[in-house]
Amino acid sequence: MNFFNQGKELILVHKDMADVNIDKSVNIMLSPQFYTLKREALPVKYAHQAKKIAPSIFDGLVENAGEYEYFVFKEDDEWVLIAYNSYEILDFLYSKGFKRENISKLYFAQQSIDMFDKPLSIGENSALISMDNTMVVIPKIVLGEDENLSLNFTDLFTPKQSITIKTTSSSNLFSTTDTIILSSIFTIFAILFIIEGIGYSGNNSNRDKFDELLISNPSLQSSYSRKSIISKYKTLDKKERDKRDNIKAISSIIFKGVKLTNLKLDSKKIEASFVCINKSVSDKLKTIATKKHFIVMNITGTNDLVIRKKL
Amino acid sequence: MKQYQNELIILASFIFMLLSYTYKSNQVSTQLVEANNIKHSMIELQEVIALKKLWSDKKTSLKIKKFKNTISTQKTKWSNKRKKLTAVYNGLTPNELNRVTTKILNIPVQITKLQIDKTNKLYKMEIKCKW
Repeated sequence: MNFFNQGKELILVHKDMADVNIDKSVNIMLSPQFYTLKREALPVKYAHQAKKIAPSIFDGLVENAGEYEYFVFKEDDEWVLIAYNSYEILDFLYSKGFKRENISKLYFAQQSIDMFDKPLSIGENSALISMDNTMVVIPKIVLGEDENLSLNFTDLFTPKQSITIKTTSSSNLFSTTDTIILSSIFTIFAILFIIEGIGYSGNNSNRDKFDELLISNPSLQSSYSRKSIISKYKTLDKKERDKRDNIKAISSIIFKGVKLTNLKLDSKKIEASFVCINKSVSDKLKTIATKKHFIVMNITGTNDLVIRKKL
Repeated sequence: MKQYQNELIILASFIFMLLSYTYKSNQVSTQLVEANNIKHSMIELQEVIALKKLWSDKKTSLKIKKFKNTISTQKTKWSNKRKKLTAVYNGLTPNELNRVTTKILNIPVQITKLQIDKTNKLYKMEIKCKW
């Protein structure tokens, strides 16, 4: 029993059928006119193995074997192999008014051979009949006059196994296989991107360190107060380092023949007075002080110097 | 619609991939910006902490007390009130002058005034500072 096909109409498709006008999903049973059948006792156990061998069995039996697909099923001790061209089938179905979206599943008449206990009239001149365990289409004329053609074709003829119809046609860019491959690749990439994205969102070790620092210094939690405090201390630090550097600079330029007589430092400037024993010492001191960016002034009439710098 | 279901499936999965890529890119750029901000704030914070530790050191008062003992009290006039110091030294030898100067420069205080005057061979020194 096939639960998924419950309620879907089964339509027998044959070459002499009239055009259809349907607007709902239907299942289709193909008459032998649409497939080639062979029955073989193959030394294989599984259907997929038989399917692999199928092309070689039909070699020479069908034209353009590359365009064919194969359906296999086991019947007693033999494998029933069916070769069909889904493009031709679809083209025929479209020509008869079927729409792709209304075609649900395809079956072969051979699959329901047990149901054909009587011939089934198809079209004006043909009949579908089970003969030597194979479904065939024969002219009605071959049948005896007393042959009963009253077989009622219903949804009960629906077999369990169906074939998946190929969607590639002139109106489709991608086959089902292409669709599966491409959509799988895209989906895998998508999942990888999401995982990577989620990984990034939780990856910030600096944040933890920063939070720890803030916890241990609650007064610095506001960025505004941090900026204000840093500005205050940076100015202070710069100024005090400047003062100390200049005092050290002054003490470093005292050499033999030079004596410091006065040094004044306040928040705005630093000034130092030196007594030099002669002019050459005075000149040397002047050169060194100038290099250290001090403004140098001579005390007129002496070798003494006063150096000054703004802080 | 069913006729183009393959194309629609591929399109949907492709859009899904694009959206995921956009999400990942956003996460990366957001993280980069945030990481830079945090890094900047970390540096700022560490700098504040270091400066605060240096210039608002609670041990500075103790260091100033020790500094008082650098020179004998006879030569020193000392006034230390509310984290403000005024120290006046008279009759310092060059060595003593160097010692006092070096010590005060190594204490993290704001030097508001430093004056050295030479009288004969000795020095007079005045230091005003706060912390």
